[in-house]
Amino acid sequence: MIEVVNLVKEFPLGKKQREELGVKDKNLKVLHEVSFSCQPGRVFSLLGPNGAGKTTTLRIIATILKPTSGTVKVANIDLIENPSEARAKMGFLTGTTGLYERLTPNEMIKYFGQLNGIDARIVEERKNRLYDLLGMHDFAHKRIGKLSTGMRQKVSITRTMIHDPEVVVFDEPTSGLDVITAKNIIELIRDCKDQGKTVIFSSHIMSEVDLLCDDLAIIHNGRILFNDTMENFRKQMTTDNLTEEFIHIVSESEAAIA
Amino acid sequence: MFKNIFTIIRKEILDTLRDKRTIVTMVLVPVLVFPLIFIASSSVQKSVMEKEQAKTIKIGIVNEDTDKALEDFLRQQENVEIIILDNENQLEELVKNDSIIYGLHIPAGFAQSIESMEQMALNLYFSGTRITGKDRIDRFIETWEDQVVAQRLQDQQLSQTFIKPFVTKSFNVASDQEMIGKLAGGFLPYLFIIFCFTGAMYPAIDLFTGEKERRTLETLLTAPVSRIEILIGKMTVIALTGLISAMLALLGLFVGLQISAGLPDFIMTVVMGILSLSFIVYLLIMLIPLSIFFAGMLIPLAIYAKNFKEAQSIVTPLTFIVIIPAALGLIPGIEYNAATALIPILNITLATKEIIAGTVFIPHYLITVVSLIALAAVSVLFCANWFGKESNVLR
Repeated sequence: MIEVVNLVKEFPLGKKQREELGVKDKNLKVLHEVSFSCQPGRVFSLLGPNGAGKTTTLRIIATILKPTSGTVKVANIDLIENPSEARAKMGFLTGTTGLYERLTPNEMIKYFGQLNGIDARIVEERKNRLYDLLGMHDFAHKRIGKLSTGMRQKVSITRTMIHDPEVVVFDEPTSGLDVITAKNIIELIRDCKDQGKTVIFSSHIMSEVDLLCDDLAIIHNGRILFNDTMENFRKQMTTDNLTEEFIHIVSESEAAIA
Repeated sequence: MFKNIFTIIRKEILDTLRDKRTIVTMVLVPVLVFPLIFIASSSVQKSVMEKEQAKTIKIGIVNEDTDKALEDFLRQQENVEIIILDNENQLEELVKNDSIIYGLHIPAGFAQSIESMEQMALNLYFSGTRITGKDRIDRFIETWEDQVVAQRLQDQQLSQTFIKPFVTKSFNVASDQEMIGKLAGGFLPYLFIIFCFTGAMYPAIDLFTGEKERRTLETLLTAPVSRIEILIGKMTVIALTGLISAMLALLGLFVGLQISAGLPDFIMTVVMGILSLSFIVYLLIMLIPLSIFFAGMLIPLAIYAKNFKEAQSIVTPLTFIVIIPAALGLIPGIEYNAATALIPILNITLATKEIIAGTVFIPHYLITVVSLIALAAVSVLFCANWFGKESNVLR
């Protein structure tokens, strides 16, 4: 489970940045009291246009960033108080996740298994299971730098899942990937849901959201505009399709601010 | 905590050893640079000197004297070709355009002046740009002069003691080791300090800026390890590469000296004697905190830089900050005392000179070691603080 309550994030602005943005404030508030919760066995989608605050929110959940205020609990662990403990319960995957190009998939997976404090035998078992599932055995000994984008993404998936996390965070996981590789990610998200894991993923692609998610939050300019189940979202739609509805909600918000 | 640190160290060592740039700067350059320089310079110098010595030299002579004794003496020497000229003005011109190597003007009445115990000048023209200078003709003229003096002593029935009434026996109270240590010993730390820094430079950029650029740092930050564990793991590897690079440079220097020709035997004996266990222990005690300090200098800049190119442009000027105090230690007259023992980098140069000379004053050495450890500790704390700030890490 993930519980986000009144999450606020401000980034300090340098003089040059203030001039570029035409603002006087020394801090830029990118998240405004964001609250939502994600339940086990359900897929929660954080939907928003570019620059809406999706990645910042997910980076805070993944403990890469610290919130300015507010609380986040992952599997009932407070991120601020016990970030390492929370990270052990969490897997984090993005479409541009970096991999160690001079290592082989085997070495990379072993490394993250060790960092997660998992017994070598269990790492080996889980690794083989994931390799079988993703068809990775053929390139497991090759340097990652020599692998194709699809192969790399499979390594990333294995790295994310090797410690069997309770909560999985996907930040625009299909961004920049070809259709076949993106399909692997979609299948992974479904598998996670079937296994009762808490899944949160951010996207700006409505078709993916429609395909996968049970609960939805629309974020724009750092504010949550909608937060409910996908079923209720469909019920209260005022337009013909999901994409139109998403654009409608975002446009209304823009108009309100203007 | 230590388990995670060791895991990170193991992975970073593996990753670093597979980085060609790091291998070149950490291993190949320090190991090969000195042997190659020594072999190349000594063989080139030797070959040039041998060729120069064996070459037939042309001596242009303008002899205004009727006596030909000196001219004949020079003609009898091996590998000498005499060219008789008419005008002294020609000598300078011909030496300048390499038509002759030396020009000698024998004035009128030269033999007579020797006979009558008077003194006249011989004008000698040579080019200081030649590797042998005026060595060869000086040797011929000195031999001839010795013959003249010996003849005079014989004519006057005088012994050698007439012109050399006493001899001075000199006793050098400094040992060869002391002399090498004090005069040339500064060169050694200068080299390993530079290599310690440059050896740590690429890994620092690769392990921080490189990871930022390749987005692997973000991946690592989502693993259940603390930032301090990540920092210590990476810092250990960076310090280790600096240390290894410095030691390999030292090894390369000794190997280079051993395989190169031209150094007097007594210097070689002393130089090889320096490489003792105690010297290495003394050195390592200083080099370990120094390499941590260097890692501590490099890491914040590598964390701050957005990409490899920016990191290189930020870090490269630091080399001068390292070189200046290291080079100061080469200046004769800067003593190793309680004050200089506290100045980072300079203290290592001075301490090493004293260690090589065998005259190191232990309290000063301890001041140096303690100050270096304190500096390393401060740099670790600064790095921890810097790495903890997301504005630096995710810039």
